[in-house]
Amino acid sequence: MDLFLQQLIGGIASGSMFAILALGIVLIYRSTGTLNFAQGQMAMFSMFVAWSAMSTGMGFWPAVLLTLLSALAMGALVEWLIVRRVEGTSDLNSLIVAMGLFLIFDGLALYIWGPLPKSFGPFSFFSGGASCVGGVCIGRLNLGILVVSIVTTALLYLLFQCTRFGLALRATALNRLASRLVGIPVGRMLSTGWGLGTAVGAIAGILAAQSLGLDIRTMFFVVLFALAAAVLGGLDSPVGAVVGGLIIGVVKNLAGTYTPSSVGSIDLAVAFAVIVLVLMVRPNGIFGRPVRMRV
Amino acid sequence: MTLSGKAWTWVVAGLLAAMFLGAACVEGVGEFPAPVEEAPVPGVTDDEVVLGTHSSLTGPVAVYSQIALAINAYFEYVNETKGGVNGRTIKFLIEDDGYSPPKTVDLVRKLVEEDRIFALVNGFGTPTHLQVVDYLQENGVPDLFVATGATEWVKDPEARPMVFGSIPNYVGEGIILGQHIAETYPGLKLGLMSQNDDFGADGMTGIRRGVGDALDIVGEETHEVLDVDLASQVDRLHAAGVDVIAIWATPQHFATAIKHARLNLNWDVPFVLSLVSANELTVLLAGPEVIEGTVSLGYLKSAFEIDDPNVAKHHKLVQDYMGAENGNTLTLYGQYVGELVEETLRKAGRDLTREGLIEAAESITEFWCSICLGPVNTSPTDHDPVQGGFLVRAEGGRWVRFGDLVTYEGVLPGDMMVEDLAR
Amino acid sequence: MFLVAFPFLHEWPFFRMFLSEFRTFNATMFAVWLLVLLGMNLLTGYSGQVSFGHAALVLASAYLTAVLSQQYGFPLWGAIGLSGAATALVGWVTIGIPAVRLRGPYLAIATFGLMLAFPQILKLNVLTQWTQGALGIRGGVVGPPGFLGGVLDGRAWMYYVAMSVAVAMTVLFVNLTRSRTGRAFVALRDSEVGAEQMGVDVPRYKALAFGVSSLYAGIGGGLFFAVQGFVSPDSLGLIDSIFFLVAIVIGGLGSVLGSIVAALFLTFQSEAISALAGFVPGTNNLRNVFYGASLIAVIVLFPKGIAGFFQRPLWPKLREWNLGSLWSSRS
Repeated sequence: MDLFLQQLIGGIASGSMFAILALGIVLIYRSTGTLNFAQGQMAMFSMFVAWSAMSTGMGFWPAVLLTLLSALAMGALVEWLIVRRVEGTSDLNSLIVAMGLFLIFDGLALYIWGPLPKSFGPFSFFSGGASCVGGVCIGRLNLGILVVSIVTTALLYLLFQCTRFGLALRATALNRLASRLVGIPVGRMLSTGWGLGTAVGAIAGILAAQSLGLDIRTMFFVVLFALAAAVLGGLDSPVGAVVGGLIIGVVKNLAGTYTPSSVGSIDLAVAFAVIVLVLMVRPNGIFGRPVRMRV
Repeated sequence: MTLSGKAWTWVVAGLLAAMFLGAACVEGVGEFPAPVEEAPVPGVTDDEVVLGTHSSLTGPVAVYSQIALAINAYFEYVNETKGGVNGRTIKFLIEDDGYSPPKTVDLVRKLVEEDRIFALVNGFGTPTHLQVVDYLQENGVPDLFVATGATEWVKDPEARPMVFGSIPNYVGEGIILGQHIAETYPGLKLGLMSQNDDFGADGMTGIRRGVGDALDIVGEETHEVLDVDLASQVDRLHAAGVDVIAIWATPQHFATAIKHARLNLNWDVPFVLSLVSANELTVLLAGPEVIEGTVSLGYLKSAFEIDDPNVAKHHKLVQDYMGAENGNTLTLYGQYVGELVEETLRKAGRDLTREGLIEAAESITEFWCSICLGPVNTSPTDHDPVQGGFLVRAEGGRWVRFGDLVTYEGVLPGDMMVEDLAR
Repeated sequence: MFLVAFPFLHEWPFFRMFLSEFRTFNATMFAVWLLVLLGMNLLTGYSGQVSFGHAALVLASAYLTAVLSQQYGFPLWGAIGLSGAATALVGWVTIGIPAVRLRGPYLAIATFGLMLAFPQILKLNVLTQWTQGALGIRGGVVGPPGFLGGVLDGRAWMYYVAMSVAVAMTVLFVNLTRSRTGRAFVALRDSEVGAEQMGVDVPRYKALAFGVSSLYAGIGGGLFFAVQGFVSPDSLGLIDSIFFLVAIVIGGLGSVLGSIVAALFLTFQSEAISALAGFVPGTNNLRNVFYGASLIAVIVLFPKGIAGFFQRPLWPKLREWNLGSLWSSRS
């Protein structure tokens, strides 16, 4: 039982990391229909920005704020400068753009900051001992990650559901033509979607760095799980992204724990089998809207 | 057949154009090597010898590019200060495979068949090099000092006479660390963590052999390269009541494992780790306090020993020839390989042939490179240059040597290879 | 003619200036990639389904070929054929049929999961007696049959085999796409509802497209093993799987020429990337930036892929250069 609970906590902690990155992926997908493979490397780039800010002596929270703002600008700029060039051609073309962005951010980070990892956290908010009840422990590191994830999700929820701006964003995602007709600046909304997605990605990156450390490959594999999480939950559903991330984190941990060792390790295979099974039942993810069919 | 004439034209014309463009474009724009009489030995002219390597300058493991760059820096230093080796300067071609095996195949074959390298030096990465090792063998291309400790390179020199290892092989390293565990923690419970490939499997083979029956192995966990963290694995060992953990993982993975144990579980279980992750990368990723007290193996001097004249010289060398701020474990390793190649070329003499090079590489005796902690010895039946080192313990973010020089020489390769590795 | 003479060209004085024997291997790998990418193109360009898992199919077939030929004594060519057929069946039944309900990115990520999980499956304890775990399976050098022994070396022989298979399968491909089945694929790519109204059995054809595509991937995978002489769980990875798709989109969806361009792209990308930084000194680390930027530039300038550009008559081509998109930033 202790082991089960411990695995559950661990699964939720790593799952929330996937969830926040997936949230960014969903925001971007809703904006331009791009499945953003570059999300991880863009987050990594933001992490390095935060590191650079802090290495000039800036405090943690100001550096985070600066990073979020720069990520917002970076995402919006990427949409405006690059993604818009392939708008309306084909979804696959925007996928190529995403792969291109992946390579560009990967290369830029390597060029600017070099290949060595950087010392980055855990910061005071995330450090301090662990509290244990019986054999089950939760550390400040995981607790901090959970708290930030929950706050981020809540803030985004408020933004989308309780502000005019959020309404405009949702309207643009739902129906671009109608939004334009009612006077929403659609182009600006698309850039904002990318900006928001990138900023949320930066948060995911800073969280990931607390437990994974900071180097060029930190987000290389996180993003794969985040993409899976976004698809599992439904690519156009922020709630889905969070749920999807948590499911993947927990399922992977439990599969790793309860597979007989004679079989060998199979946690990844089980996690993806679960995704495929869920998609069999709900082809647009758990919370996704069905794709409209047109003749 | 319903293929119309037009379609045929397209298919055939397309294929032809493809072949021709492909061949002509890539080659045509570059230099036109004049079709002069071919040198009898590939890559060797009167004043130059061409060596090549495949490395990962980009991609997820780009950090290891520093090894190839440091080797190159050392060769440039040799060319400049000593005029090369035996009157020939060394030209070093580095190809970037991004850690993708199919690309390694393309690039290594290009190095051999088009750039006509004399020998491949320090190919980087087990999965990448596995894809080309037999090709080099069959074509008689010396495959010197591969940059991983997989036993695959050294376990059967008769079947693979061309390939040589460079770092202590993972089984041998595991034996030394396993013996340390057996002596330090007798009667306790041991947990194993390893990457689910031959890197991890080799290490665990060695650990088991070294530990013998001094400890009970109560937990065995593996992870994949693309696992994000090892928290789940550590939790399981924690629940199994493990007293000490032996881990074979990359610096990134090891950092997540020890961080989770220390910060999320308040668990100060001792870690014994492969030298692959006992370097500055781990310190930067996990922080010096977290890794305090972990034990590993060191076979070269460390970058922080700046009082040692040779280490100081190394820092100067990477500053001058590589443009780096400072040396580190990876660049030190690069210099060690560079010196080893220099020594091999020197022994091979002025009349370079590939056979002569292999002969030279097989007859290195008591060679001390400037930063080595032990002698390098090879023979026709021993392609594993360094067979041991010192135990090192992390103190304040540095792995400091303790105890005497330990070696697995004599235990390996010989008998163990066949029985333990018959997988 | 050119294809037949290719392996010997590097021995002729004129061609030696820019061709080395390495190009024979290049051309052989080109044939292998062409097979894989024809299959990808059939799936994506003709039937409108997206797969990120084709590298897993290639890898599976390479493994099957390796096991059959190395452990069960099958002749190599028989093993490749059998593996191709088996992969087709697997692709059809276990991927194609479940995939019928999935669309676009959902299908992409579901198949991507296959690629993520596959190396782990290959290393399962229960399978290692066949797959040899992480160390992979080796095959020897494949020599030409006896009567050609004096004329061809192993390299040239492999080239002829791979290239003839590729050409034959290309011809088959063109025939298929012009057949009733091919038109059904195109119909359901353009609009599933429309296809249904025209009487196309949509689920059946979608699954069938996956099966045929897997056949190509399977044959390509078998040849991959024969050409490389080695296969391990890491032989093809995630990045390769993604770049199969990148290659066909860049090359051009829905045409044979697109697959050919795509195969060229895959064949020369390693060399090109490795050389990319060479022309500006000190930019070694910027390699990926150049690479990424060129991908984006190509897709912005040629939204229909490179083949799409060259298949049109000359005049509209100039307008098709999507230069307008470079400065327009309408909302």
